[in-house]
Amino acid sequence: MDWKRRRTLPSSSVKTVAIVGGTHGNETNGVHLAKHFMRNPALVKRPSFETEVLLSNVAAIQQNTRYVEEDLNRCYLLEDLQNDAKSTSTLERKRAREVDAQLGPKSSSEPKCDFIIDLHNTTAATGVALLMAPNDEFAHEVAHHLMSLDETVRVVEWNDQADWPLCPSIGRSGLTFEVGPCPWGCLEPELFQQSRRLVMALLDYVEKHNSLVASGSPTRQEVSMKVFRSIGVSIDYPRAGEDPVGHVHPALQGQDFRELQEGDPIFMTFDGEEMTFDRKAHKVPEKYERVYALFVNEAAYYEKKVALMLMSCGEATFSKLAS
Amino acid sequence: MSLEFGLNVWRLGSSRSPCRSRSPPGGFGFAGGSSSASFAFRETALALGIPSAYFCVVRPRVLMRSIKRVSLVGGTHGNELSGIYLVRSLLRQPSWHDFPSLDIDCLLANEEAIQLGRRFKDCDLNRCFSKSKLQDLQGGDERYESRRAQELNQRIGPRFSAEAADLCIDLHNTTSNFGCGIIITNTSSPNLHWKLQLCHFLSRTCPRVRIVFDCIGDCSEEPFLPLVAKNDLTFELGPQAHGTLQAEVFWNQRKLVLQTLDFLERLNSQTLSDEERSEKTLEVYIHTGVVHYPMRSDGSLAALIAAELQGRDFEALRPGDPVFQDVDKGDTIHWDEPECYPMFINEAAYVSSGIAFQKTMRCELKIPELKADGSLSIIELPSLN
Repeated sequence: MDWKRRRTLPSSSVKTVAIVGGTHGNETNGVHLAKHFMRNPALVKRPSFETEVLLSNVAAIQQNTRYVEEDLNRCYLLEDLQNDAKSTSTLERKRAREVDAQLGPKSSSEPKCDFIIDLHNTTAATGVALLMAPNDEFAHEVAHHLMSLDETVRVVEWNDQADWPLCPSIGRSGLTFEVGPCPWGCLEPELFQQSRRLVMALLDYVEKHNSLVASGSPTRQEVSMKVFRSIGVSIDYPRAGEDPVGHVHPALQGQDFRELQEGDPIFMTFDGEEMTFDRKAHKVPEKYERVYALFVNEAAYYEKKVALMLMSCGEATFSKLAS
Repeated sequence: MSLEFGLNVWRLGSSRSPCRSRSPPGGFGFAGGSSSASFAFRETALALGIPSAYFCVVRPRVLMRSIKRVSLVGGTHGNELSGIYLVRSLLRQPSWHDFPSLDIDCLLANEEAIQLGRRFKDCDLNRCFSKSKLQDLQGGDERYESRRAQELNQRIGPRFSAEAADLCIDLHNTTSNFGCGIIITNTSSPNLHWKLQLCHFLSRTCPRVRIVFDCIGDCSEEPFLPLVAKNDLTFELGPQAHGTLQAEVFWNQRKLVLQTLDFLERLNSQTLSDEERSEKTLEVYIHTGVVHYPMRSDGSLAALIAAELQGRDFEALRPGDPVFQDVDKGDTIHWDEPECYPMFINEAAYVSSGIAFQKTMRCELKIPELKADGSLSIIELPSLN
């Protein structure tokens, strides 16, 4: 698969957009935002493209749980979707095939959906973080626009790898709306309203992009923007066997996107002892002079043994049609 | 029972005033004498020509027996983490030698739910302990929590029996902005007396303590786990997202637990200070009802909590204040019932049953002095009209 070619190029118009809620069944703001759009299709309708709204992990939504058998948002690797045995092995694997058929398929260089917005919530204080593939130029362009409307919006790139098991990767282009802090199962009013506004602004931007394409504008411009990138390092809780014996230090709690410096407190044990950030002990490669914390105290990552992830910060450049 | 009856014999006409005469609901058979009864007796005796020098008025006096057996429970809900980690931490390094008069049983209630990282596996464990459910459950309900409730009833209880633990402390978290909540479900006197003195003590040592009475009167059909013991306390701390552990919440809950054990130790050894035993007033919130989200005919939520109400647990909600916001139209819905003090605003676990928050009534209670001889008083509770 030529992934680069498959991406929506800045000079193509967008014909279908999908808004997906409930990839994790207990990320309730996203579920209710999708349901709100399903009840009010006029809000997400635009003249030049179709908008589809769907709930992906319906069984998990009904049970108010992240997943029933396995994490749906780890089921979308192409090789897994094409593996008949694997892709029918669990409830979520079967559902992934259905969503893939509806919005993709990933195996096709002409997927049905040009842009996927996957709505998520996190217990970490990410604000509105937009997560996307490093080489997805159109997603970067859209995110750049949303950052200009709301300075709390930040962009995080997925790891640079051949394929991703994540929902937005089924379509040509797409991104994850990761909104927090929001507890599982809760509707958080301010975050709900903020993400609603930003999703509608995103659709307005796609409409504007399509107008530029239709007007035959040939001019392109290079834009650069600040992005955070995973450096492939995460830090687990201090444990005794399987059990955590400490918690995120109060000085770090809620400090997503903050720079972590040598000696900064990151954990406190249940006996009150502080544990600090140590680049060497935490295996931070030397080439990353400055690192930043992300997904600090995300509930779903306790089982994945991640208390926080480390990011680097840099510039991404993309080209877009000039208006 | 942590009470014993003693006989109080004194001279008529003494300055000693009897306890209040209000009968406790679901009471212990305590029959407190009133001053008017002893006056009538004296007048009758005099009329019969009996010398007034020494008349005995035999009146039962309720004395507090020591609290000995305490159950400390975490993980009744498997995703409410501070209690789970606190119990594990205490089991690894117990400090029970600091409380020699207490026999402390520290346990995790719902290990299966804890493993799953969910509130429960089959059904909510904290709804399994009403009188009728405990009787039903002997019929062989196969759900995990139903069977576990039977085990816990044997270990901590049995409920309603003389063998039950003296006190059960149940550790919980909520996504609502509850602060350091102390919930008492069995609010009957006279045990309420020492519990309120304890609550006042805790409110001085921990931040944002809120005392909540969950039930007035007969609580035998209340289904909560700590009711298996003779006395119940629930430490409900928030806000904390389920599945996460917040430093402040963990340390405050730990403080509530250790300060409670310290108070009980000193109560047992009669070494509470005069100030700790003195008469006081205390603000409490009495549960009066539940408020549901506006719902659509298909059963989905029509509105969410208004931004102006989010996080305002235990602040007055008055007629005209914003309470909900319509999800589709964005219109604000205003409160049109009498003033109340809401709690559990936007508790995640209640969303699926459509509960937006619970209402309480705020009141000030007078707590009489806890006498050095251990006698307890009836606490007057307001009527809930």
